[in-house]
Amino acid sequence: MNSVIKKYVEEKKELEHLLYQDDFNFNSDIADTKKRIQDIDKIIDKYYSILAKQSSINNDNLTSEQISKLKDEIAVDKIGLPEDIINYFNLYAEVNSPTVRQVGSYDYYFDRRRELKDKVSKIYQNAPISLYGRSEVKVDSSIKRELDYIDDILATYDKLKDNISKIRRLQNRKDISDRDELIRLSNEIKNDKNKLPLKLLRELEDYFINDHIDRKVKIQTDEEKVAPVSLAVIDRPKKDIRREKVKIKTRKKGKFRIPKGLIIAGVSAMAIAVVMALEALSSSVSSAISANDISTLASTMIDNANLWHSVDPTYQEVLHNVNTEIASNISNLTGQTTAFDGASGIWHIGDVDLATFANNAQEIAKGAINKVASISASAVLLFAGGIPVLKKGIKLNNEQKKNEGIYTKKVNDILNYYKNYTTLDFVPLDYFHVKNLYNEIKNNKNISSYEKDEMLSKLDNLLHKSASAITFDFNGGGKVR
Amino acid sequence: MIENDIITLEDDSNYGILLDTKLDDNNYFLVVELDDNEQPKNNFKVLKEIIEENDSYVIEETDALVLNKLLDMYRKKLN
Repeated sequence: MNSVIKKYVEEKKELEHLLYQDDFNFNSDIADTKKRIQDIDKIIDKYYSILAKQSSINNDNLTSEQISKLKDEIAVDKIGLPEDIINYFNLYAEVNSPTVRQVGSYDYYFDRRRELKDKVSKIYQNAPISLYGRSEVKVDSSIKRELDYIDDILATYDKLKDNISKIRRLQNRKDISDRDELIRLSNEIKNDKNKLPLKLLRELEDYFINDHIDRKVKIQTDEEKVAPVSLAVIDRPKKDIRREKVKIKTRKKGKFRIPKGLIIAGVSAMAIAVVMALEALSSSVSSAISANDISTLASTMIDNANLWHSVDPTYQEVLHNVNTEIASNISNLTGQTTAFDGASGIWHIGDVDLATFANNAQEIAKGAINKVASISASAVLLFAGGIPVLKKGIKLNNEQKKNEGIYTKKVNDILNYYKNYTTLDFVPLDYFHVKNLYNEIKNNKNISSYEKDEMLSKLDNLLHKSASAITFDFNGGGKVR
Repeated sequence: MIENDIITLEDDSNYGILLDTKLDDNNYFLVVELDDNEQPKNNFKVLKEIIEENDSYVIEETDALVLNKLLDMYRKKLN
């Protein structure tokens, strides 16, 4: 109970106590006291009535007519109430007056937060002692709700900025051991981006592109000092050659001894950097904000596929895993089945190969294809040879290639056939037909274990979805599994 | 010992050129940074050459596809 109403409640108790005193027997006093008690009862009733109506206005999902009606009732209830109670409700209404949330810049939110805090502080200063200790005022407060919202927006913005700086530092390190951290940061960035208004995301993009180049360079330099084992730049030139052209002072013939190990390390470091750059593409701020997601994903797969030919087996595996992840995203976005044909090295999305899919996607995908084609004539020969060849360090014999090709096609045919059911909890499946294929693949020794696992996993998923469905056994008739 | 061109930039950094090639009408260098004794550091880059008013400039190339192509060409050269 707050101090405003508590005062009246206590006065009422005292008056009631007086009535029972033996020496309190003057008729006129008794009548006055009873009248005062009745008045106080009315004040208390009106107080709680107004409080309930005000709370309903702030918290219930009322129509404007309902709100208007309650406000009229409150105005009537206030008639005859003592000034301190009326002042209390005026303050209550001010704290809880609905605020209009606007979409603004970081500075807007920052200033708005200060403005709201000043307002609350001012109300506190003018309020009776302990008035705002009341929980119902705080809970109902739309100012408090807006403050919480702005706090959340600003904290997310700061966290996102921090994470983007971190992910850039890691990319500059070009160290494959940072892969898990890169993925973690990518996921966090992806989630946080969904929480921020587009206007703030654009602002963040500008922050990293235009205004803070010096700061970024400083961060990179600090990172290099604490990471001497990094394959990245250790002694950065005085000019940032990544961002501005630097004049060649002299060019001369010279001799230097370069160990083979250093060449391998250096070239691998660059290859890792390339992999990292493309891996980060699908979740980087700029690409995800501005580009059509599906087209970006398709073109990233093509970029990765082109890179696959010239990186070491370890990084080929990384690239393949990245493309598998991207393919899964495309599948989620489009509802199309995606499948990798290990024999031909070609990804399929729905009924078409990746290159055709990307070609039919929007301009960004077309641009990527043109770019690839201008550099490499083998752009459409995606992952030729397939990842298992180099992953295992062996070459597949002709029998294996033939088997993998046959069974990959069979699996893809089945997946395509049932692709319209992929969003359902179950698939009306010819269970035994699929199960037989599953067993054939499982028992076939002429399929590499990697491809076998891939195919079985896809079929297993399909079979699992049939678990609650009615299936048809051609030999034994229909039955419920 | 490899005999190759060494370029010194205006900020006095030295790079040994491992590959000097044209791609899409642009000239690219695959380089290794050299220390003060002209010995290679563990820092490889692809630089794009820009000619302006008879002066030659370079800027680091970061396009993953160009990097990839240069790496591919360098591997072939090594073999």
